[in-house]
Amino acid sequence: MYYSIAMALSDTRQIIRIVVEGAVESLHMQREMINSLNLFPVPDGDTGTNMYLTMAGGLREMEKTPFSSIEQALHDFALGALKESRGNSGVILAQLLEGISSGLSGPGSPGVQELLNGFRNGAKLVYSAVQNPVEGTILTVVREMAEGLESYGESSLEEFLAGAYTLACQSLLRNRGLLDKYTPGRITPVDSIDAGGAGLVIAFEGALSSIGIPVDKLDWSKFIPRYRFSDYCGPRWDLRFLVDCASNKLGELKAELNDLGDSIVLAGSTSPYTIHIHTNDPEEVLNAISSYGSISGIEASEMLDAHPFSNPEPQGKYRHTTVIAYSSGEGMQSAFREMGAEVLEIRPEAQIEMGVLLDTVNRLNSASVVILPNCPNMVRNANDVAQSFSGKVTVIPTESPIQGLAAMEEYFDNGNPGEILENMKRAAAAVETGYIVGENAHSPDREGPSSDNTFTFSGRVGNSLISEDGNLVRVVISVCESLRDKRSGSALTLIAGKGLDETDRNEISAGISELIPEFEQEWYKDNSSGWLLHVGLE
Amino acid sequence: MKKVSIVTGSTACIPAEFEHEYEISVVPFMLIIKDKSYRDNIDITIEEFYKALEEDYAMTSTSVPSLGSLVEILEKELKEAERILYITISSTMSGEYDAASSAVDKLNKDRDRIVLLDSRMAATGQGQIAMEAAMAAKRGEDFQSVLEIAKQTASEVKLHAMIDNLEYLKRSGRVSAISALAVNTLNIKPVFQFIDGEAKPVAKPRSKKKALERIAREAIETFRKKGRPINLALFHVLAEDDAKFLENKIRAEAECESSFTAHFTPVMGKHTGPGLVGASFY
Repeated sequence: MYYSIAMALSDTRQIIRIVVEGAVESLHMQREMINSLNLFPVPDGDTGTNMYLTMAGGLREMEKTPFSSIEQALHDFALGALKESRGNSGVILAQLLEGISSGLSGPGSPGVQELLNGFRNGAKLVYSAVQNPVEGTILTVVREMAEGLESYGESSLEEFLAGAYTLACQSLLRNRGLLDKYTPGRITPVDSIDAGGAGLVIAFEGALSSIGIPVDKLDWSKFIPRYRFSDYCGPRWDLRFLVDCASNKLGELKAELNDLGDSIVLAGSTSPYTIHIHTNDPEEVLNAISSYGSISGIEASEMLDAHPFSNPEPQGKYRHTTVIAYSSGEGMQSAFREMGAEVLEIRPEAQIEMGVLLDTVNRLNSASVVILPNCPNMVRNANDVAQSFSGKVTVIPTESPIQGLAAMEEYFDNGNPGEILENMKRAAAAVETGYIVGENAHSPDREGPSSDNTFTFSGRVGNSLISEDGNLVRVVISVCESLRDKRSGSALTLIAGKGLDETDRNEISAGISELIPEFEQEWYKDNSSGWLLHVGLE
Repeated sequence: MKKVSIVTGSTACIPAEFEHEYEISVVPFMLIIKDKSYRDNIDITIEEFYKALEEDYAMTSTSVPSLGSLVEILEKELKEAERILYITISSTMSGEYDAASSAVDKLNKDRDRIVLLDSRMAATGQGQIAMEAAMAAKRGEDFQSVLEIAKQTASEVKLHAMIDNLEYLKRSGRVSAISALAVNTLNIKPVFQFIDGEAKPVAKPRSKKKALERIAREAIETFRKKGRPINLALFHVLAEDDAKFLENKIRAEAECESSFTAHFTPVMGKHTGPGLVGASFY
């Protein structure tokens, strides 16, 4: 059954070689793409390269020995992969290969049951190799693939292999986003997929394609992160070495490794064992582990050497604190710039792409960043970014451009940053705001209001609808009175949107002066079209 | 003979009545209009100077007291007091401290009887330091005690001011951070605070009223933090009503042990222009 796939091929050796070469070639071709997916455990952009080198090492080892059996060939392949394994994913991949290889050993030609057994072994091995298994990684893909394959026991080999590929893809996509939370101190990715898992799928894809098993390829371009990392805060060194250690000492060795770094992988079923660890002090690790046995094959590389996401060069003069103000209209954009803010243009009812905001923050040559969302819908988006920067970014949840302006009144980059931030927060909170929108049921194309009754204007303060009326001035007065009920101030700021013309402004201004004479009006013009008027009292 | 005589510059904005009451010797800075020198607050009225400033900014300038006038005043005070405490405007704002040092050097054997104190302050803040020291001197306290009181007051006094028209400050080049402010669209009235001997912008309210309220808030917070009545001084450049508004705002929520209003000296007013209003308090 197993050989039916390759009946056209002249010998078994050639089949194995084609399969392995297909996997290696697939990884080679797509290693940069896999690198670009690399977010966890360290965003060092080398997963694709590591998996390719691991598999290529296996291929070289396999070719050293004259072919005697499938079992022997796969054993050599797994051994070579383990010897040449690079990075976490490479080590885990090598473990999987070793597990599969071990499942194939036994009398007779390997079939589906043997392969199934191999995947079971592989799933166990990869989990046992990692000190702190994290779901959502290649580990999960291997495990779920092995679990899913249990129902393929009676299938053909072709169906089994195609099923393995499908299960791997499904697992990868199902667990999308699980790793997002594991990137404290960096920019949080959204719905990320694990690069190691992707590498495994890609290796499978190449292997199956090489022997004519059709696969539905994933569109990997959809999964490439669109944004960069702020910085990497973890250990500096990626250390890999072999240790010749007695098996009864492995538990003790693992415990010791735990205190020396993270992303620890201990691989190999017999000595010498492969150890992979991220650490700040390779010498300390080697000294500690040397007491367990002789060490060989030491390789160490700096984590960020090959990082494709290196920070963009900060631009502009250095500032202790930079303010990013969201703004939709030219008038307010100009005002915020005059007040010293960097402006991020928003469109009404549209969210700012995370990637854009992340890039903006990264480009700032600033120790800290304050975001003024200036719109209720944008506060969450800003908070998401702030959480990704572990303290560098603070959001003052301004829900109106008037609150944003009030905060900016307290901003200068020349004093105690903490004090300035507190003053900005206090100033923003001291403003009570409302807004007026207008609708014209009869002339939907018309942007502006008028005093005729075809318009319905609605005024809101916070989430509360204060007034709906065909008379704009009445609505504004109602909103102003509501603000006065909430806040004992007299400085009234009004921002006129695109749809409010000079006549409207004059009528509103006169109405306020007449009915609420204690208010001192400060008018600004904006060209936003999503609202007619913003009002703020402080 | 007095134990201690207090000397300070006219930049301290001490009202004439307090000069006499506290026996403070005030050294006049120089105002120069079209090559003619006037002693600050003596030879020219404030209104006259600002009128000249408005007519031809370029033809007006200011100067630290002349070395001769400094030596003359110090010699006079040395005849009336055992020691002199000369409290200067912040050395980051003016060359008065250096000029005074040169004057002291010329007094040879008497030089050790004079101590210069860089107030790291200006305007009524500097004045309040001088007045506290003068009160102590008048009480008959010894020089060291007077000096400590002056230093203590200098460490406590805060000064905030609002600029009504930024053009003067921009021309003076005195506050570099001001260049970061634009006032094309917004009616910004920046508030400055004296921090580490320099006037630094701390807020940019969008109206005069908000700026005055911002200053009042600082004074009220000081009152609340200290838990005792504050000593308040207000100053302005031809803006008495605004100074009164500010005083009322502060007094509405803060008790004052003492309070006075002074004209901001044209020596500094040249750089701030009319409309400046501020307060110092401790």
